[in-house]
Amino acid sequence: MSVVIPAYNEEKCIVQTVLSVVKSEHPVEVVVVDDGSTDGTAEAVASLALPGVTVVRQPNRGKPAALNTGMALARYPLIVMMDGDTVFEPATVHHLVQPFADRRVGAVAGNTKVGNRGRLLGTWQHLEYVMGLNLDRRMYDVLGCIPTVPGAVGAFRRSALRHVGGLSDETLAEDTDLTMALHRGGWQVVYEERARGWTEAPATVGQLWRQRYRWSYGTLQAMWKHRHALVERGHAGHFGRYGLGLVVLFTVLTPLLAPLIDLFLVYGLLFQDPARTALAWGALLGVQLLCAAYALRLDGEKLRVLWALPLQQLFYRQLLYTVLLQSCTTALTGARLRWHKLRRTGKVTAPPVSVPPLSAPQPVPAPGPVAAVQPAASVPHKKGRNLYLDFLRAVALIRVVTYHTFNWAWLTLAFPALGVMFALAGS
Amino acid sequence: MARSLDRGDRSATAVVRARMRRLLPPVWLFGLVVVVAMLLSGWRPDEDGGGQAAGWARMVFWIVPISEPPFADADWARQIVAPLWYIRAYLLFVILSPLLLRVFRKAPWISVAAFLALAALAQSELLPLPARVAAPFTDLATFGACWLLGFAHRDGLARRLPAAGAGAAAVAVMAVGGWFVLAHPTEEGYDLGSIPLGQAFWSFGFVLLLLRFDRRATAG
Repeated sequence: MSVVIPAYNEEKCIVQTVLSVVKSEHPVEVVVVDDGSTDGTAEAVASLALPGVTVVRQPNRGKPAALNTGMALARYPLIVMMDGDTVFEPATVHHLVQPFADRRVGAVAGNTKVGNRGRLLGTWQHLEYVMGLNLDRRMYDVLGCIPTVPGAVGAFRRSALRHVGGLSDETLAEDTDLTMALHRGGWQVVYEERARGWTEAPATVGQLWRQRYRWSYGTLQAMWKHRHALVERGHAGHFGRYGLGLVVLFTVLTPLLAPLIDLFLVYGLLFQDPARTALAWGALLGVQLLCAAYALRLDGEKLRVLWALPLQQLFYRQLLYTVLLQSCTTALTGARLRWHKLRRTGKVTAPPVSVPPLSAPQPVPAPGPVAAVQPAASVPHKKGRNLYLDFLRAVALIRVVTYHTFNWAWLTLAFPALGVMFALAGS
Repeated sequence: MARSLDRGDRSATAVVRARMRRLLPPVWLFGLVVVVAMLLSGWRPDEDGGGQAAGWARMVFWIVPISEPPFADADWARQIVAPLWYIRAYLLFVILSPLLLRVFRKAPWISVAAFLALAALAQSELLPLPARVAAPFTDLATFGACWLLGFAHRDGLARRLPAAGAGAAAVAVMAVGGWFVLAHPTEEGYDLGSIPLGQAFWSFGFVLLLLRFDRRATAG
C-alpha cells in the first residue's frame, strides 16, 4: 500500500499527517510530494528521517500534477491519496484496503471528518459533512454511483488510475473529475465509512467561500466534461444516467431553490400570518433535525452539536447557496471558453519523473494562515474572472427572481437588474 | 462580448457565430417544448388572424427569435413566453456588437448619448413602426446605453472618468429617469419594465456608478 500526500505550504500540519500514517496498522510506504512550497514543508518531513517515507520536490505545478508524480513513484498496486492537512486513524488505511478484494472496485471513498469543531463555523461544517456523507454518499453508494472520492481520504487501484490517464487539471475539482473518469472507465467506486480522515476545515468565511466556489464550479466543470456518460453503455452509462442526474438534482437544482425558503420566510413574516409562517419554518427545521440526528447516530457522533442546526439554517445555508449561485452564473455566462485561462502558464519546468506534463492552479484547500497566500483561491478570479462582475450578475439574477415571485415594482428602481445584465454581457 | 471580440484569434463573424451556436439550441429546445404543449392544448398558430399560411409562417420566429413568435392566448403561455424578449434583445445586441463596438470606439460618449436619445424616441412612440418592429426597437434603444457601458468598462474607459464628473453625470441622468418614472406611473406602478425612458436613464446612471467605482476591476 502506498500513501501519496501532495503538500503545498503545509509546514504546520505535514508532520502530524505523516506520523499518523506511519502508525497505520497496515504496512505503508509514504510519498510526500512537495509541490514547490515556499515554507519548510519538505524539510519538516525529511528531518523526521522515517523509514519508508520519501519526499520529492517539484516546481509548483498544482495538485493534480503532484498526485501524478506521487502515483508514478508509488511502488504498490494500491494507492491512498490524502491531503497534507489530514490526519488518519491507525485503522484508516486498513479499512481503505478491504473493498479492493473485489476486482471491479477502482476507488474507495473514505469518511472525511471535521477536526476543528471548536468554533461555530467548524461545527456547522461538521454537521454538513456528517449529513452529506451519511445520507447523500450512502445513497450514491447504494446506487453504485459515488460522484466524488474526496481528496482528503481516498484509495485507488493503480491500474485503474493508469487506465483513465491519471489526474487531470482540466477542472477545479480534480477529485470529482477523476472519480467520474473512473466510473466511465467501468470501475466501481465504493464508500468505506470506517476509513476516517480528520481534516482541518476552513476557519474563516473567506476561506470557506473560496473552497466552496472551487468545489461547486469544479463539479459543474467535471459534469460538463463527463456529460457523454449520459449516452454511454454499461457502468459508465449507469453512472451517467443515475449519478450525474442525482448530482444535478441534489447539488445544483435543489440548492438553487433553497433561497425560496428564506424569501418566503421573510415574506410570510412580514405580509402573511407570521404564526403560520413560523410554524411551517419550524416544521422544516424539525425534519432537518431528525435527519441530522439520524446521520449523527449512524456515524457514532454526539447529538449535542444539534444546537448549531437552527443557526446553520439562518446563516450558513445562505452562504452555500450564494456560492453555488455565483458559480452557476459564472458557468452559464461563457466561462466554458475561459477554462484554460484558469491555468497558470509559462511556469512549467521539466518534471522530476515522467508524468503527463500538466500545469494548474494549486487547488489544495489549505486552512490556516497559509491559505491567504495560496494561488489556488485567487487564480480563478485574477486570471479568468472578475469577482465584482460575478457578484453583480448574481445580485441581478436574485433581483429578477424576487421581482417575479412577489411582483414588487419598486425592485426595478432599487436595482435595475436588466441594465446591469446587459452591461455585463456587453463587456 | 467586447472581450470576446478583442481576443483576436477569431474574426468577428466567428465570435458572433459561436455565441449563436451557444444560445440558439437551448432556445429551440425551449420553443419545441412550449409549442408542443400549446398545440396539445388545442391552440393553432393561425389564431392571430391573417390566414393559416401567415400563422404558420410566423412560427419561424420560434426558430429565428428576432421578433415575437405566436403563442396561445392563455396565462401560462403568456408567462412562459414573456422572458423571450430578453433572449431576443441579447441576440440582436450580439449580432450588432461588431458594428457597435467600432462606432463606440470612434465616438464613445456620443454613441452612448445617441442611445439615450433613442430611448426617449422609443418612449415618445413618434416613429410609425409596426408593432412587430417597435418592440425589439424599444428593447435595443432602452438597453443600448448599458450595453455600451459594458464596452466602456472593458476598455477601462469607465474607470478613467473623473470620479466627480462621472458621479454627477450618473446622478443627473438618474434624476431625469427617476423624475420621468414618478411623472408617468403605469398600471403596474413605478415599474421600470414598462417605462422605456425611465428604464434607460435610471439603469444607465446606476450601471455607470457600479462600473466607475469598481475598485477591483481588471478588464472584464
